[in-house]
Amino acid sequence: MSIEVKNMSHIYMPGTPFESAALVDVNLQLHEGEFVGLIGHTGSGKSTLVQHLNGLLKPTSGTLFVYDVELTKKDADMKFVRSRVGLVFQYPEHQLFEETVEADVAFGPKNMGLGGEELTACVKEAIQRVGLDYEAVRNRSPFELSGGQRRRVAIAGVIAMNPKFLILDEPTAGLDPQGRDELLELVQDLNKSGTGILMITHSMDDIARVADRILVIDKGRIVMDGTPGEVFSHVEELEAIGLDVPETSRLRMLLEKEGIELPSDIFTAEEAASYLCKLMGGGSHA
Amino acid sequence: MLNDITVGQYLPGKSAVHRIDPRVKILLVVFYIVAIFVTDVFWMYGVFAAYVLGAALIAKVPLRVLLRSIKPLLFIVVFTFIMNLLLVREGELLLQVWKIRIYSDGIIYAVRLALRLILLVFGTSMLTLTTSPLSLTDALERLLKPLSIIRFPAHELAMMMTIALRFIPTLLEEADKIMKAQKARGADFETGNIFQKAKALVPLLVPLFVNAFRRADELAMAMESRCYHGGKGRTRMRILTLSWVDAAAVAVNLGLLALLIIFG
Repeated sequence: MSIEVKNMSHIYMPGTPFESAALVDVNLQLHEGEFVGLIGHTGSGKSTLVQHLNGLLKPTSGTLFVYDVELTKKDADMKFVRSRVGLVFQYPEHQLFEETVEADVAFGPKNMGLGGEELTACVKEAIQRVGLDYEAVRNRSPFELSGGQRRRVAIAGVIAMNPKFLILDEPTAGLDPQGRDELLELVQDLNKSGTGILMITHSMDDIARVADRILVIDKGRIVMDGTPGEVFSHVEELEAIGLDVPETSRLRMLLEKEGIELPSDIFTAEEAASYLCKLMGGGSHA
Repeated sequence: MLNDITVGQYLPGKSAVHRIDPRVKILLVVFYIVAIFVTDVFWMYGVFAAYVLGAALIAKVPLRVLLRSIKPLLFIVVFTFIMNLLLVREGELLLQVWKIRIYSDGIIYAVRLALRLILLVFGTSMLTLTTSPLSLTDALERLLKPLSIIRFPAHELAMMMTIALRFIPTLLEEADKIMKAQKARGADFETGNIFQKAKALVPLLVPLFVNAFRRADELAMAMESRCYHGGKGRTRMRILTLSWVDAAAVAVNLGLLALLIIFG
C-alpha cells in the first residue's frame, strides 16, 4: 500500500479565536498505481489533505504512513517521502525560478542528490514526458514560454523526481480546452506507466472519465469513496454539498425516471449517445 | 508558518477613542510626542502615563497588548538607560565601584529618557491599535494635502501605502505557497549555514518577485480600466467629519497643554 491515513485530523490555529477544523477523522488508503479523483467544494479541505500526504503539513492528531514511513514521527525521512510522493500545486507555473528550463526541472532531482549524467538523463526524460521538445526548450528561459508550456515545465520539475505517486491540485485550471485535454492525456499516460495519481478537480466530466476511484470530501470529512459509477449515482447528495455531477449522470437520473436504464460505466456524451441509439433500434450514432 | 505575522496591530472597536477623526488623532499624537520630550517635570510623566492608560481603558485595549508593544524597543530603552547612567558625570557622586561612577544627574537623565521612550511607544501604539491602517493613510493624505502646493505627491504616497498594506497578506500567503511547492521538490530552507540559507531563498524570492510584478501590472490595468487617473479631481467615498468626540479629545489635550505651560 502506498499511502495510509488513519483517523487524521487537522486544526488550523488551535487555541486562538481563529481555530477551525480543516480535516476531521480522515481514514484513507491509496494503492499503488491507482488513479484517484478528489472532489469537494471550495474550502472543503482538499488542499489541506493533499499537503499532508507528503509531509508539508503535520496532522493535529492521527497517523499517516507513506511508503511505510510513519510521517507523524519526528525523525521521518522527509526527503524520501517527497521523492516518492510528488505534489503539483495549483498554478505550478508561478513557482518557476531558474534561468533555463533545464535548470528548473533539475532543481528537484538535484535536491534528491542526483548529479552528472544521471541528472541530465532524468531531466531530459521528464521534459519529453510532458510533451515538450527537449532540444528546443532546454536553454530557454521558462518565462519566455507560453502559459501552457510553462505549466508543463513545472510539472516536469515534479515528475523528474520520479515519484511513485503524483498528486495534482487542479492541474487544468485556467487552461484552454485543448490544453486541458492534452494535460489529462499526459496524466493518464503517467498512470499507465505505473504512477499512482491523486487529482483534485472541479471538472466532474473529466474525472468521471479518467479515474478508477473518486473521493468526495465535505467540511473536512471524506463522505464518499468509490468508483465513479457508484459516487456519481448519488446525484442529489452531491448537489446538496454544492458539487456538480457529470452530464451523463444527470441524464441517467432523468432516464431512470422514465424507466430507461443507462449503464453506470458510461461517462461520455458520445458513449451515451451511441448506447441510446442502439436502444432505440437505430444504427450506430453518427 | 508565515501566518503568524499580522499586519499592523489594529484592534477593531467602536469606542470613543476609535471614533476620533484619524486626522485629529495623528495631530494629537504629534502634540503628545512633543510634549513628553519638552517637559522636565517628573510628575508630568505620570500625568501623560495616566492620559495614555485612560485612553487605553476607554478603547478597551488590554493592558497586556499595550505593554507588549514595548518589546521590540526594550533593548534600546535598556541600552540608553545604562549609557546615561554610566556616562553622565554631573551632579553629586553617589556611588563608586572600581572605575564605575554613578552620579545623581546620571540617574535623573537615565530615568527621564527611559520614561520618555516608553511613553513614546505607548502613545504611538495607541494610535495604531485604535486606527485602521486604511484610515491612517487616508488621514495622512489629507494632512499632507497642503504640501501639494510645493508638488509634494500626497495622494500618490497615500495610494502607494494603501496598496502596499492591501497586498502584504497576499504576498505572505503566496510566499507560504511557493515555499511549500519548493519544499515538495526537496528544497531545504531550514538547515545549513547563513550562506546556504541565503542561497536556498532564491527559489522562493524569484517567483515571489515575478508574481509581484505581474500582479502590479494587472492591478495598474484594472485601475486604469476603471478610469483611475491620479488624485486630481477625485471624490471621496468616506468623508471625514469632526464630531463631539474630537472636540472632547482636543479639550483634554488643551488641558495637558495648560499644565505643560504652567509647570514646564
